[in-house]
Formats: sequence, structure tokens, C-alpha cells
Amino acid sequence: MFKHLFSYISKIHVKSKDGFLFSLLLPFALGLVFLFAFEGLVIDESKSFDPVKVAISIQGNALEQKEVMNFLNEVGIEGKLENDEIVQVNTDTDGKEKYILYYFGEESTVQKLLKEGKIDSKVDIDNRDNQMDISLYIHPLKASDINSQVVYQVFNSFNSSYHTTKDATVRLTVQAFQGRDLNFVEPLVNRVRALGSEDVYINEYKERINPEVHYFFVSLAYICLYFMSVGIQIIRKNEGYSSATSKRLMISPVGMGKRVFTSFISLSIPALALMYLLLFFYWKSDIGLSRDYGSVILLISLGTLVSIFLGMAVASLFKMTDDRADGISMAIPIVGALTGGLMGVASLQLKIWIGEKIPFFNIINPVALVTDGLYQLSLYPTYNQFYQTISYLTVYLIILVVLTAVGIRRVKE
Amino acid sequence: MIVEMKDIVKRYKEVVALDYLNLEVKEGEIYGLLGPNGCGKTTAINCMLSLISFDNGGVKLFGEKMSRTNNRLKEKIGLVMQDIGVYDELTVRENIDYFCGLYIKDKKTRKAYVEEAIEFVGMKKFEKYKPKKLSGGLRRRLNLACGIAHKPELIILDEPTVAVDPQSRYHILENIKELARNGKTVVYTTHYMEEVEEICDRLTIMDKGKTLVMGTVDEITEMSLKGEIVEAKIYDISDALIKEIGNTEGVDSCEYDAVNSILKVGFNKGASRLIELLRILNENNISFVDLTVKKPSLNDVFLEITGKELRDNV
Ligand SMILES: Nc1ncnc2c1ncn2[C@@H]1O[C@H](COP(=O)(O)OP(=O)(O)OP(=O)(O)O)[C@@H](O)[C@H]1O
Ligand SMILES: [Mg+2]
Repeated sequence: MFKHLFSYISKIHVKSKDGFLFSLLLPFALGLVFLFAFEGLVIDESKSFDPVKVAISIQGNALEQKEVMNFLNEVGIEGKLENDEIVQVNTDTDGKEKYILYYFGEESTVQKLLKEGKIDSKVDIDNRDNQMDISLYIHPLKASDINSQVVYQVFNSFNSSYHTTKDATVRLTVQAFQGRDLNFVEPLVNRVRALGSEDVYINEYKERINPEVHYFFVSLAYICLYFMSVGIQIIRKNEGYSSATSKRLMISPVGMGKRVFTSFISLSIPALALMYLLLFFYWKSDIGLSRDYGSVILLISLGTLVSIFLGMAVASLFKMTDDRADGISMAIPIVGALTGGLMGVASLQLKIWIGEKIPFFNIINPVALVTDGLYQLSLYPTYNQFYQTISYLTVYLIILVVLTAVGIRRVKE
Repeated sequence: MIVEMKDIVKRYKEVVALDYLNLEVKEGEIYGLLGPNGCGKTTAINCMLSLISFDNGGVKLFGEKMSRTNNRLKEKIGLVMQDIGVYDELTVRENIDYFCGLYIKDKKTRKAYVEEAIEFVGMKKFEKYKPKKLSGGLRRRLNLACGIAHKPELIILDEPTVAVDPQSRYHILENIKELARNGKTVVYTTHYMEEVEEICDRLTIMDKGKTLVMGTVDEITEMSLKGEIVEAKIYDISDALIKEIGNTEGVDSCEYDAVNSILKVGFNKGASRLIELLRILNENNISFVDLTVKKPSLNDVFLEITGKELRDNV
């Protein structure tokens, strides 16, 4: 029975306009368009990196400030305030790579600079109680930017090295204004708690990526969500009310579960195959997609499956007309991409705003999840955040499978 | 009893599509479900097959409770829907094979069944065609083949002859009669009473979701309050005589159509006075040709009960 269903469902899917054009050819073409669009965004080794502007306020003794400065001078350069802007004290960088431009100031001044967006990040260091409290505040608009990663990394490294030399307790907290970036608080706190030895070095960031690669990540995630339409089709081709052919299937002795399962297998295979083919092209080109092949494939597969099941859950829970089904399969991916940061700076700000106000939305938006996953794979030094994203996607997938199972058992007329 | 529907009520918000509908179909008969557009025929079938839920009542098929998940029952049923349910992406043969394969697992048997179904609807020539290329009548025949290829014991046909040319319609009706001859039970819905009169053993006339009457064609036409209608071609007749005939005992109405020269005499029920009429005509030296005696049709019965015509009152 499976073979019979599988061969005919595949045949109908590939031969149908909906199936071939809309759900196979179009996303593939879209993927190639994105590829060409982003090919220019390859890592540019010659371009120098603008140091991240960080203002630091210290509560404690001067010794600590010295300690911090010594460390920061390894990776950054000192700055001073000039006309409300932070500029380098010394233009000579002794040939070393400088990641941050730091400035020590009063808490209130530092706060003002952050508010006005003159700095990327504000750092409060408090060592009054014989322990080191480091708090990072990251400017909302820089939160998903590589800059925030650099700041985080620098102070994380400081944290580690400080600990190995001193016997005091160190506490590092990171506060980003963007909800999702709070993700790195927990692993960080854990690390500090464990007073771990797994030092992370800044030179892992040597490979620099143009921040605009972010758009490339969102577009790849958008293509994943595009396959939501396939999920909607899987259900609708089997629901008795939606067409005469599906009514025929409905009165046959082959249960809905079996039919939906077979449709899922035969329609999701081409979708996944297409994504892998796209990835292959992406890897062949020089786009800044992580070369961690296994992880990227895992992430993209999960993203695609979540999208397909999102379509299946929606279509099986709600009765809808053809028009509405078409509308939904167009609208949701676009909304997902828009709120996931695809459409330029405004859309990026929207994503940040959502992360701040309704972080839950980013967790149910496959575009945001897959984008973050790609981002984390390419830019984060550890797999912690990536695994967290993967586990979100996995839990999400399980929930959607359950919802679909509930949905297909309901009679909709 | 192959089909037993008891007190089925189906509501769509304010619309009551089925209003305590009862239906009993015996093994081996062709059962007609006759009624105007929108009277609930398709809804009745959908309820019968658990394709939709209903608000009251129960359905038994082959003496067993029918449900969405009763696959054992579904195996014995074939549905030929009102809307054509075939895939445009598949050829005629592939369509039949796909649907047949949902019932028949054995490959060899399936191949033979598909072959038989193609022969049965006379589409051997078209087996490699895609449905889009077929004429409307041929598509209906394909629709029929898809519904019956697996040799179901109970076949349900929902207006299979709508918008079909006389030749294809004849073909389809012959097919249905043949199915019944082979011992299949057939439920046939239509709003063409001629078809019902031609092929159905028993029938239900429905209107607005309710059963109006049920029985054999003869039983139902018997129910008419009117009697037989006699028509004859008469070239010359006086108004006085027409009046006289009209006043004769047992005569319900008497009209003369001067344009076509046809005299039409309707008798009261059970009061056929054909001999009396012939006597009057003879006495007055009136010659006539083409004398016919008609019984009231299903349409007349429907008209009497509901005050509206059954045919094509879309
Ligand atoms: N999905 C639905 N939602 C609302 N009303 C419906 C629905 N399906 C049918 N109806 C209503 O139920 C009634 C019966 O419809 P049904 O399709 O069963 O009629 P029918 O006898 O098959 O007519 P036809 O000869 O045109 O096929 C109609 O009044 C129709 O408007
Ligand atoms: Mg109908």
C-alpha cells in the first residue's frame, strides 16, 4: 500500500503545477537569486575592522581598573571623549588587530553614551565586595550584530584569564536589550560558576564576516519556511472537504493517518533534497555559510521539517478554502521573514523589538530560529547557543507533529 | 438491509439540509433518491458515508454501524461523486489504477480489475488520455470507472448523468443496470425523473431535506390524486361537446388544444372512463387518431405535493 500511494502521490506532485512550479522550482530559483545577490558579500580580508566602541564604568579600586586596562590593551585600544564622541587616544596601533575601542567614564556618562547610540556596549564592573561583577549592556541595534559578540567574547576571555590569575570570585552578566541575546547569559553564568578552564580565545573571530551576511542567513531561513505550503498541500490533498479527489481518498479504506504520512514522505523528500542542493551551491560559492556541514544540514533539515509541519498543523486544525490556503502559504513565510529581519534595517529593528517585547514570537518563527542557528554556527565560538536553537526547533517540531495528529482526527464538517 | 439511515438531521447553521431523513435500501436493488437541486441528496450521501458529521440519527451499512474509521465497510463501497474526482496529472488508466489500488492490494487482480473497468465504461481508446483532454461525457464515464473498478457491493452514484449528452447518458444508465444485474446494490440520486422511472426499483422523493414519499415508481404514481390522462388527435370538435365531456362523471378536466388539434381529458383517480369517452365521441361522429393513455408521472406527484415542478427548477 505504501509503495502504491508513494509512487502515485509523488507522480501527481511532480506533475502538478502547484507541486512542481510552486513548491519546487520557485524556492529553488529564489535560492539561486539569493546566492547571486549575496555572492559579493564574501569575507573581505583586506577590509579593516572598525573597533567596537565600549564605555566602561568601574566601581572599586584603581587596581582593578589597571587589570582591566592591561587586558583590554591586548585586544583593543584606549579611547577618549571628544565632542561627545569616542575617539582613539593614539592612532598608532602597533600593528596588532584591535577589536575594541574602550573608554573609562562615570556611570552616568556611560549610560548617556549608550542611550544616544554613541557606543555599542556599556560595561559595568563592580568589585567592591571582593568579587568581580561584570555586566554588559548591549545597544539594541547592535545586539544581533557581530559587535555584540566581540564585546561578549572579550569580556568572557577577560573573565577566564582573570580567574586563572586571581583567587577572587568573578561574576559576569550580560544584558542585551534584545531578548534572544539573553541566551548567552545562562551558559556564561554557568561557566563562571564552574570557574571553568575552557578558555575561549578571541582569535576564533579572525575570520570576519560582513554584517550584511545576516540578510543572507534570513533568506536561507525564508526558503525553509517557504515549504510551509508543501505542508498545507499534504493535508489538503487528503481532507475530504477540500476537493473531489480527496473525497475519494476519504471514503477509501486507507486511513487518513496512513495517507498523510505517505504524502508527507513523498513531498518532504523533494523539499529536503532541494535544500541540500541549494546548500551544495552555497558551499561551492564563497558565501559566509559555516563549513560545519553536518550542523548546517541538521539545522536546515529541522527548519524545513518545522516549516512543513507548521503548514500541516495549520491546515489540519483549521478548515479553509483554496484561496485562504494559498493566502496563508504566501503570507506566513513573508511575515516570518519580515519579522525575522529580511527586509532591511527597519525589519531588523522589528526583529529586535519583537525579541524585546514578545520574545516568544521569535521562538515560534522558524525564520528567526534558523537565522539565529546559522548565525551562531558561523559566529559563535561555542556550540552552546546553536544547540539551544536546535533544541527549540526539535521541541517545536514535536509540538507541531502532535498538533497535526490532533488536527487530522477532527471532522471538519 | 444494505443501507439503513435513521432520523438523520444535518444542519448548516440556519440551513437544515437534512430533516429527519430515513432511508432503507435492500440488497440488489437500484434505489433512487429523487429531488430538486439543493434538496439534500448529496448531503444525504455524505452522511451515509461518514464524510461529514450529522446532528442526529445513525447510519448502518451492511448491518454495521458506519464510521469514518470503519475501513472494513469502506472496502465494500464505491462512490461516484457529483463532482468529478480524478487527477488531471494522471492518465485515464493511472487514475483508475490509483483508486483501485486503495482497495485491491494484489497486483495481478488489480490489473485485471482496471482493465475490466476501462472496458466497462468503453474507454479503451482513451486510456492514455489525461482527463483535461476528454469530453465532459467521457470524464463522467471515467469518474464512474474510478468509483467502481474495485467491484464494490454497494455503489452510490450522485447525479452521474448531469450535463452529459444522450449517448453518454445512455451508456452510463446501461452500465448501472448491468451492475445491478450482477447483484450489486445501487443508490442513485438524480433530479431527472425519467431516469428514475427507467432504472430504479424503488425510490424516495425528497424536498428540503425531508422525505416526501417512498416506494416503487408504480406505488408512487398510484398516490397521485389524479387519474389517467387520455390524449387524442381530433380535427373538429365543438365547444359544446368539450363542455359535455368535461361534465361527464369521473372526468376531472377536458381541454382542447386547437393549434395542435389535441383533446386532453384528465380523469379522476381510479375513475378511468375510457369506454364512456369513446362512446360519446362515437355518438357525435367524431373521428380521432393517435389515442394515448398516460399515467400520472413522478413529476405530477411532486407537483401535487409541493406545488412546484420537479424538473430543472434550478
Ligand atoms: N458546506 C455547506 N455549508 C452550508 N450549507 C451547505 C453546505 N453543503 C450543502 N449546504 C446546503 O444544504 C442543502 C443541501 O445541499 P445538497 O448539496 O445536499 O443538495 P443536492 O440535493 O445534492 O443538490 P444538487 O442537486 O444541486 O446537487 C442546500 O441548501 C445547500 O445550500
Ligand atoms: Mg448534489
